[in-house]
Amino acid sequence: MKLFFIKILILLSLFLIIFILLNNWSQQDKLDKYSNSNETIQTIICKDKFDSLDVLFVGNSYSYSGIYANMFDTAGLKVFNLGIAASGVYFYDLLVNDYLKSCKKVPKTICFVISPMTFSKKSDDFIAYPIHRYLNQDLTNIEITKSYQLYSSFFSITAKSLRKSFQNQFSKSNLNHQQLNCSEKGFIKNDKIADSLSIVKDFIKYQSLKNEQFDLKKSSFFINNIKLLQSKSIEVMILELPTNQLNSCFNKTYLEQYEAFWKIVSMGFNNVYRIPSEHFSKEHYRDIDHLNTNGAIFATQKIIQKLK
Amino acid sequence: MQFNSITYLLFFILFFILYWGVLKNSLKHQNLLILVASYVFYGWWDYRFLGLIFISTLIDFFAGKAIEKSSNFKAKKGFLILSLLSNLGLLGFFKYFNFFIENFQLLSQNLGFQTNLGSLEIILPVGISFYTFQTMSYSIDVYNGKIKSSNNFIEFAAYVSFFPQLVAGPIERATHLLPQFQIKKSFNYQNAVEGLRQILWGLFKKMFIADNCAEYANLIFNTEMDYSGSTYAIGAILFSFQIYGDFSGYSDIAIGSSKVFGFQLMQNFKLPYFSKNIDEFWKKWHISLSTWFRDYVYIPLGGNRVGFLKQIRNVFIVFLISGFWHGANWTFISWGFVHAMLFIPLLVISKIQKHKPIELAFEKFKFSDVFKITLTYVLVTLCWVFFRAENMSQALDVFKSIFSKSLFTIPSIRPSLPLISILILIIIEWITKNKSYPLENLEKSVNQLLRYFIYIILMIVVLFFYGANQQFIYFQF
Repeated sequence: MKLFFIKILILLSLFLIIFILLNNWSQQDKLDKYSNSNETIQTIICKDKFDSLDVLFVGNSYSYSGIYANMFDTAGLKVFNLGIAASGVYFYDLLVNDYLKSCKKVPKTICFVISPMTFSKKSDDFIAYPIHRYLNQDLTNIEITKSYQLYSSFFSITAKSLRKSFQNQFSKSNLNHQQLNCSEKGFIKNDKIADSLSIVKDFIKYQSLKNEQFDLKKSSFFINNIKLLQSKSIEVMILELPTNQLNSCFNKTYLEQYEAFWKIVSMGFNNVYRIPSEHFSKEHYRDIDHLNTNGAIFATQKIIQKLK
Repeated sequence: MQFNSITYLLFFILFFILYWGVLKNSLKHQNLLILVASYVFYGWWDYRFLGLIFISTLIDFFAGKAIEKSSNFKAKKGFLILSLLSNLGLLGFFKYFNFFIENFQLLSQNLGFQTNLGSLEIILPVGISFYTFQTMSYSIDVYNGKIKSSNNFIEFAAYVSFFPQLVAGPIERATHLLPQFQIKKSFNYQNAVEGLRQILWGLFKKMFIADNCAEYANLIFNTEMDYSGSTYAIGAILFSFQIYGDFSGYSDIAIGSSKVFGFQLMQNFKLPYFSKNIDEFWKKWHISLSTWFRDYVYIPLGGNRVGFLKQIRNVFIVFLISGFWHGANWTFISWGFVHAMLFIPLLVISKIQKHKPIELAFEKFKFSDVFKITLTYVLVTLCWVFFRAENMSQALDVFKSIFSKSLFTIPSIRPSLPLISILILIIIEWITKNKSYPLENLEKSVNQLLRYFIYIILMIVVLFFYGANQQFIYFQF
């Protein structure tokens, strides 16, 4: 048995050495940062072009679809919409810290866009959206795993980096800098109007949400973060945009806990705004949960009124 | 507890330490440890169903003793029937109750009667089809005098619940596995290494091949999109390798885990997609189930020893039961039926390989065999559409699409990684076709450095290139 253990140990040591080498090599995943036309990466880069903001909106795809940043100009407000797909509270934490570290003057208000999705497993998807690799002060996969205790996803996150590094090696000669277009300040237009067929398809896509459990760890992490920002004299606003039929995809217990979260933040914080969904019609949505451009204009008007 | 989880890894290490370290000198305590560990392994999924395994074990243990002790033929038969009915009763209630109620209601409505029997919210206990079949075979073998009844309850209970093969087989016969619980074991380096190699190969098939194929197969079959025939054809190919990688991968992990602890389980797959006809396919696919049906259903019905029409009847009975065993759904029954239909022509032209060892199938390989292998694979893959479809209407829609002009269009989903992984698997399996799994006896053909290199490559692929985690398909059966 001694020989068996020695050989296992040798094998594991060799594996560890190769793993460390591979892990280091996988840092090349971000080589395409300035040549990638991906909207997520472009928004992350664009955020640094906007300083001394009145409001920094931080959210997920509901944010980049539902907050028409340029409309705030008419109200004399300088804003940026830092909406990143699949964002949740961990993404918010990373994005806000990265922004605060690089800006000259901190924003007067940071507005977090919250939805039922924020506290689900579908949010903070570091595998599909490895934003930590594209920040100004990028974090390694090991750091991100440790910071948010994502141990079970570590291999998947690293696998993604490895694949990306591999791709980047092949396209190294084509990695030319892209022309940045930040004119929409993070907002992404979409004029599509949801039809019943696309809603049915989305329902199927979101089937797994019925078994979703509300992540209490995430909600308390978020509340602590808000307090931390407030201690730095930054005003915080918590905003909910209408999300069409999203709520019907979740189970009752999840929604009850989500409502309980809103009760807690409403009691503890002044600046909380849930835009009533009754004011919106079918024409305001592009699918089961996202606003379209029309809906974004309507929602943004309401936000401006509230901010005034 | 899934084999491809950290929990199983920790469970395995702890079990290894206790089995080979603390209790190495006592067979009795090793068997007791297997029993406790197996119940923990099963209870990890849902402890409420441990009672079912226990009841099944208890009934068969005492039925076996009673069958052996009875001198009266009628009494023997009575105890056998008691054992069979209780196992089939458990299976029938948990797996088929709602199916029968729903179909009875449907039939009543069609005949003009209004019935409202409702349905029960029954959770299907994982692996119930496997352990009930295993215990039934014990009772039948005791009845037929092939094995003596067990006198040691711990030993017998450990045999029934043996964790590596409890939830998805291989379905072991008591004649093969039970005596292994009676032999004192000592750690064997070669067995342990072979076991770990087979586990690694099983993980590769499950996590790299099956799970990567599953992502796209699910995308194609789970949505109600109207895909082209070519896309559905790709979906069917992906599913064929998903189910093969998933189930044969599970079997490899089960066999490998058992080997580490000194147990030999039967081989469950022998390169089924290299079969030259359907008969050969069924001798190479889920061997423990097909031989179970052969020994306990087909042969008792008369097998090949009866007239031609009765042979056909027997074939249909076996395949329909086999389909129904997989699930309470008409899609599974249709799957069995179509396989029977594909099998019958071989009976007609007497192409059934009687008593011919399957290993010989690769001898004298001719180039024309490529055509036969391809044809068999296509037929089997088309049958998988029934197996994968949610209902009959989806299956028929998929067939309509596959057998249309759209089969010759460019597929809308072109999954490169899964298709490359399939190609890699085919090449590796073809090169190593004379082994029970590709890494078997690797030290005989490859030096140590290269061996370590192969292990590390496989570990990296498994850890970094696995698909989205899917539950083993056969857990649901």
